[in-house]
Amino acid sequence: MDSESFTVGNALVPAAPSEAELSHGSHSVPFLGDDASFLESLSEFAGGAVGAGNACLVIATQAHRQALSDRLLLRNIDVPGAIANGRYIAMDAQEMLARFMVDGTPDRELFAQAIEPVLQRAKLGSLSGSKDVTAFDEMVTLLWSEGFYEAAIQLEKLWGELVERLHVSLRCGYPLDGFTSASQHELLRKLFSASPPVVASESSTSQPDEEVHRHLVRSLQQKASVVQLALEERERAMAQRLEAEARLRRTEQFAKHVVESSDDCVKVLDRDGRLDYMSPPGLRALEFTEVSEVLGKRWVDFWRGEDRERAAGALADAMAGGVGSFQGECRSARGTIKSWDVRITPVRSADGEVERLVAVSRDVTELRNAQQVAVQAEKLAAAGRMAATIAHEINNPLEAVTNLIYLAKTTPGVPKEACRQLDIADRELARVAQLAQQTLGFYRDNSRNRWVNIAELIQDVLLLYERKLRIKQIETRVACDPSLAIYGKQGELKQALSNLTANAIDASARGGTIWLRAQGTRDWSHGMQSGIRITLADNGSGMTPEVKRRIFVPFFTTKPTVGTGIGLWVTKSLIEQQGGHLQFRSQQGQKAGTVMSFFVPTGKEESSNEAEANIHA
Amino acid sequence: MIDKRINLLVTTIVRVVVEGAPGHLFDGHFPKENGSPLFGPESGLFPKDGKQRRVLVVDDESLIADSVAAILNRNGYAAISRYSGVDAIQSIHEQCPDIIVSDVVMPDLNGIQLAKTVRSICPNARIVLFSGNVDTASLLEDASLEGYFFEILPKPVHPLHLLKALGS
Repeated sequence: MDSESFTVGNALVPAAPSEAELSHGSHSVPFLGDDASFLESLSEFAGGAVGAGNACLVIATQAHRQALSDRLLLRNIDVPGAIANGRYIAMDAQEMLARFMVDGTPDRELFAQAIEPVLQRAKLGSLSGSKDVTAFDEMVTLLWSEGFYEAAIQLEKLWGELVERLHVSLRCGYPLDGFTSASQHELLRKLFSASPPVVASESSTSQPDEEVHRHLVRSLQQKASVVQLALEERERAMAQRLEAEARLRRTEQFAKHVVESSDDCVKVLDRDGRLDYMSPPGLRALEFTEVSEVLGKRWVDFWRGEDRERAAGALADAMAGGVGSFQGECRSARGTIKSWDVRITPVRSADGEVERLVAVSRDVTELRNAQQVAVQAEKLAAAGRMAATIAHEINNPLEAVTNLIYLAKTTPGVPKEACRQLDIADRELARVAQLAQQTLGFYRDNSRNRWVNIAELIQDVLLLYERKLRIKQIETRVACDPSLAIYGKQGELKQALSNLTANAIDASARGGTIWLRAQGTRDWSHGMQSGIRITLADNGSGMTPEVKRRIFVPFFTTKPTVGTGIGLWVTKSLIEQQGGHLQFRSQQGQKAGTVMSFFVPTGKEESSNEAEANIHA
Repeated sequence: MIDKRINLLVTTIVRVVVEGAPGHLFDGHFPKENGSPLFGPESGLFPKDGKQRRVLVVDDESLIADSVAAILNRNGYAAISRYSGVDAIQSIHEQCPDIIVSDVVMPDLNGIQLAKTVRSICPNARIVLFSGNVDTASLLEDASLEGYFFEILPKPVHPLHLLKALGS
């Protein structure tokens, strides 16, 4: 047995030495707790040897020798007989020490002279013929207990050498309390490394009725060697537990922090699909104020219609051990509709059962909207291509027919009635042309920038809608400086203004009023650019907040039967292409109406002669 | 006195299709009528007297070219029509017009190319383009990068508007 295994703290249970280890040339060191157990141990040791016919040498105090003798007799050992034929030799420990101790240290020579002849003599008395001697020495114990630790160790060493040479089974004893302080720990180490086979031993016998006692001694031995280490270990374990607890708290806090930092709505559901937990961001997203508003409610009930079926399906998937997922719309506590991407996963207990479920929902409303816009943009592009094709194919015949009607009408001698009909045809055709421009929508002014008179522009636009205005008996009030002009694309400005006018007419009730005002101004927000502001107001129905939010979204329309949903979107982009911007105010109720207002910069004056020539030639 | 029947010179089908979609939206069917040509002698050379302003009208759709020329002739101009850019250049080599009114998108030589040529051969001629096609914008932009600026009218141009634009 390696002595190290006895001294390190983690070897809490030292193995009991085997019979073989004890039988020859071994050196065992019991740790003695009290006299009773010491004597019990010693009588086992000595009795075992004498009983087996071996020789036994006992060097002990007077009291212990007497007590041992008494105990051996109780074990039916023939002590006087053994003494008589020299198999049992008992000597006084104090006297023996006096024979070889010099200046507090055992002298090697004197020790040999004192002990060897006795051992040799004992060998001769052995009945077993093995010539083995079992020796017990209390001298080491005495030295140790009186604080001569180095001397005790030295003596132990000398015994060790002797034991090896003479095949003696030696047992020494140490008081337990001698090993309870850390300072002696090192000494203990030395003790065990002092001599070859030093083994910790309790007893050489293994009779079953001694089990309790063996156990006691063993535990005492363990206690002696490891009590300090155990204390240290306990402290270390305590520190580790505190550290682990702190770590766990940090982990819990971290997990909580992570869950609550996420924008996602994290929920824990029980096996019935009822809410056990909802993360604060989830509560906020669903516009609940208290978690109690949702706890215990069935999760699938948060969904409606087909989404509820999808939710139930996903829940079933997760309950079956898989991952359930779907996308759906969910109404918040205040009725806001949001799109969610949901994943629901099972949480298993240690035995593998699905214990609860975790549902993580991501708000994909923005993404959905973006996707819808992308789809709309694609529609728009397709519509644009179609419009370009139609515009091209329609404008040429329109041009031809317009010309032909004019020619027919101006042919001399045309009957008055025919002329009137041709006039009507001409006007209807003008409507077709207007319609082509408006509903095909994507009017692009091919011309270069030019000076555009705003008053004329307004008049042109109102002329376009003259019939509509008249039918609805809408009054128009125009305020515009006749000299007001900007340098830009007339066609696009006209398109923008006519779109706004058409909307104002549609919003107006019969007998309503439309105000049109244009004035020179500066754009305060954009570097004091000079330009004009055209404001168009109606006292029509006004817009709901929902409509106001979406009026510039392509294909959004409040007039699904006649509208394309691109008028304001086109208008805004036309104005922005000119470097301007469009704003609006609208309200419903008592003072219902809408005010559309846009600013367009005056534009750079180009004064090259060529350009002038082209414009005015 | 001008006395002409209004006749379509060719059968015209306007087909409206949606790109990438099967089939088409609708066909506009303009059947050719039998009879004499719609427009007469003004497609020859300009009159020699020189009092009237000479206008060269160019459009690959002959009906448009002829009808515009007829309208102008009826309003004091001496107008002739051509149905291609190449023919138009042939014509201006013979005699410079005072005004050239031309379509932009034409098969062989487009209106912009024609206008540039006119600018070099007849520097005093006024050039008015008209177009019903949105692609025109990019053609004009290209031309403007080269330093050419042309007046352009959107199709359909009402005859009264055209006459106004030409300053009559």
